[in-house]
Amino acid sequence: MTTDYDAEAITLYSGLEAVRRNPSMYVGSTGADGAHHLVLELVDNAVDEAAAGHCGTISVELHGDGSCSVTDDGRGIPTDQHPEAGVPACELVLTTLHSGGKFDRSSYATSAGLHGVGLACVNALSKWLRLDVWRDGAHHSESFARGSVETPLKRVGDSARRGTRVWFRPDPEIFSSCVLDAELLYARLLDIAYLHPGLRVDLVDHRTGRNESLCERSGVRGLLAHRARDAEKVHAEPVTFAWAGDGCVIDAAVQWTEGYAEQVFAYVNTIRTDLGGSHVDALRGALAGVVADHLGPAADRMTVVDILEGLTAVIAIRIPDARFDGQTKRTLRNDEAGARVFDVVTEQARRALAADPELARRIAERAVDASRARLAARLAGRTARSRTRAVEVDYAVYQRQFGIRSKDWHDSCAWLTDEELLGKHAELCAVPPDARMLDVCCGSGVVGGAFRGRVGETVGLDLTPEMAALAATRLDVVHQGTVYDLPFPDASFDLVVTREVLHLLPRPERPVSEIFRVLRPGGQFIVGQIVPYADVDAFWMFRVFKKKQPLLYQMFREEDFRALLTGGGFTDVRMEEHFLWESIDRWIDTHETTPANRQEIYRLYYEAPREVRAVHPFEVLPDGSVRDRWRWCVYSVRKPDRG
Amino acid sequence: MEPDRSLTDGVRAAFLAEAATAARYTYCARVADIEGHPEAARVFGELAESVACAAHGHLDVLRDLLGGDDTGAGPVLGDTRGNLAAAISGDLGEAGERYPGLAARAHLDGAADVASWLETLSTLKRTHVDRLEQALTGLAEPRFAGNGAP
Repeated sequence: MTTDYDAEAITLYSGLEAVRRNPSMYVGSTGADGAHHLVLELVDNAVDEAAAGHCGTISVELHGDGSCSVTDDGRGIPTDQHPEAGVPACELVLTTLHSGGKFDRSSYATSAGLHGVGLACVNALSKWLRLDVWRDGAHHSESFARGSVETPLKRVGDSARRGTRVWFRPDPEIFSSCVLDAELLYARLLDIAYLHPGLRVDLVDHRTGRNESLCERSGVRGLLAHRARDAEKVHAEPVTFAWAGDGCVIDAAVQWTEGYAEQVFAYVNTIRTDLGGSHVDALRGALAGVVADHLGPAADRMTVVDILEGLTAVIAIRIPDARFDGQTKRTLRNDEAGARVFDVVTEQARRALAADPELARRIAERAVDASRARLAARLAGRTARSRTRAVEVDYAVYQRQFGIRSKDWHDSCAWLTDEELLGKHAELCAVPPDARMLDVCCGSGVVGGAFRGRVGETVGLDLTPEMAALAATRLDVVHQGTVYDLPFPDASFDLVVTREVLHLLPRPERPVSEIFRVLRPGGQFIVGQIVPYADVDAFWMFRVFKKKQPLLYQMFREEDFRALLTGGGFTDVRMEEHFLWESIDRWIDTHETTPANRQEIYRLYYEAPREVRAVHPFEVLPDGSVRDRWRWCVYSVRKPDRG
Repeated sequence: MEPDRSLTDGVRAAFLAEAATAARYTYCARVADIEGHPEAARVFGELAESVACAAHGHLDVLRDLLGGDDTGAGPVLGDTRGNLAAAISGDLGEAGERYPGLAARAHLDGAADVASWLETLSTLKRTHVDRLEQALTGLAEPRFAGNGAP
């Protein structure tokens, strides 16, 4: 940029054994996330070259042996001797923490990489690493093993090419998983391509033959369109904000959707700040303020979360001296940058709403809808509770909720249609081929449908007319009715099946006894339920599930559920466990989970107590999304045969 | 010297209040954060740290005032052996009396979900009793075995 980028521009600090000793401190974790972090660190360094105007193509290759190479056509890391250290500058960068061109601001103004620990960090945590530099008419190469020089820098030959390639293999001694996920990397490369219009970004996965070449020109607006591509929009065109001055650049695009989740994709110097920070707080605050002003007194009973429900936004800022919480840069801490974003967005959003009354009307209506839905959800929880003294359940609450959900029932979570899980239920089936089966609280009828071919007749029952209509496509007959009072005579079925239902009912003993009643003696009941892993995660799961679903009444442990069945007179208990990864993001993106509860659920995962983590596997991915490995227990029990 | 009962009782009450405040502020910080009030979240978060530190300060005082002896007004504060024993007795009470009692009450009121919540805590506390008991047993085992010492 301003001065020559040569050996003298590299500032020298200290050693890097500390990185191997405490890798999590540098790359966030020693799981798969950490290994991916190494790749992204190299990509970010190349992006810095691009942002400084020296690089036009970045290429990431995943090789068959589990290694990865990142190549750019930038200036190439300097290979000349460092004046103080007496070793080649590139070697210094790869073997010394805090040595890089990013400490004095002359080489990079707004850098993305990890404050200079980047390359050395990657080297320290790699089983092997090979560096190739093309610069000043020559090709140089050097290799390392676990951070130490293996083959010193040598001149390979003449070359007119320019750039750097770092080829490495994450160290299996450090990372519990070294398998690099092309999809995850692609997501990050896509961000980079949008945020650097004109930059070419390639991803080649030699393991699968996948070959992607990205070059985007539409900036944050295009990134937003990509992120919100499947959403139903409240207004057709996104609102964009742009500002530049004092060495800072602010670019943002926002659009309200009919979805429930609020999604803000935020970047500082191209780094995704997953946990937000001052720029995101400012964007949210400014948008909420402007919309609230526009709504006037109508906004009095609204929360920020109401106003921002369904918002999809991209904000990318470039600032010098960005300050983050921690090494993995997930939260921005620059208050002055936040203040600038707040002012820019407030002013430009106000202008946009004033200039387009139709846009203003649509956004205002969306906020009013969201606040109504929140109040209704809260009311639903209260109504259901106050009626539970006797077995007077307010069926309308269930009908309303599942009626709305019936529209996109199968999209609402993965387990609903997971073939393996359905198979677990069907495999337990041990009734004659002409048996009559009842799928109780059948929903869309997929559970009952899984028994097709194993039984003679499939009957469904659901409380919600919309669900009953859905189930009619899979089952022979579907009745509308309640599980508290099954509309069938005693001993009418050979088999009853249901799944993930009894926890939603205030008095589960009653439905269990109803199921017992309608079964013939010797009949079978097959039921699946998500249960905690142990005694120590039940209370935590209760909080998660209750926030997701206000109609949750029970958090059964395995033994509780078993006791519920045997207490109802059933015998011959068999149980099969099945573990299923569920996307929590998808699971909570639903009508009955309020936006605030959705946020609280994320926090419960992010801040889960250690006792819970020790027994209950879940993953927080680098973008803040969560996958939970649910423990399904599928039970088979029998009504005792009189004989 | 006999500690002043009204003073220790007062400090003990203050400890309970500060401990509750620390937990409440941490919770409020999260609510403020989610509602989009980062400044309020920061205030709550920072105050919660100070308040938790103050609560520990009250425990320092109680420990001094009581000299490690139980005055009958609450659990012992002293060395780890005594603290573990006191924690076990406290958790036994919660697992065996408080939470089952509250859960029964919730059932009577028709609040099935609240009852289930309280039962998960009764369960949790039972596991805590086990862990504390193991820790207490662990204290009895020689720590420097195998170094040639008698």
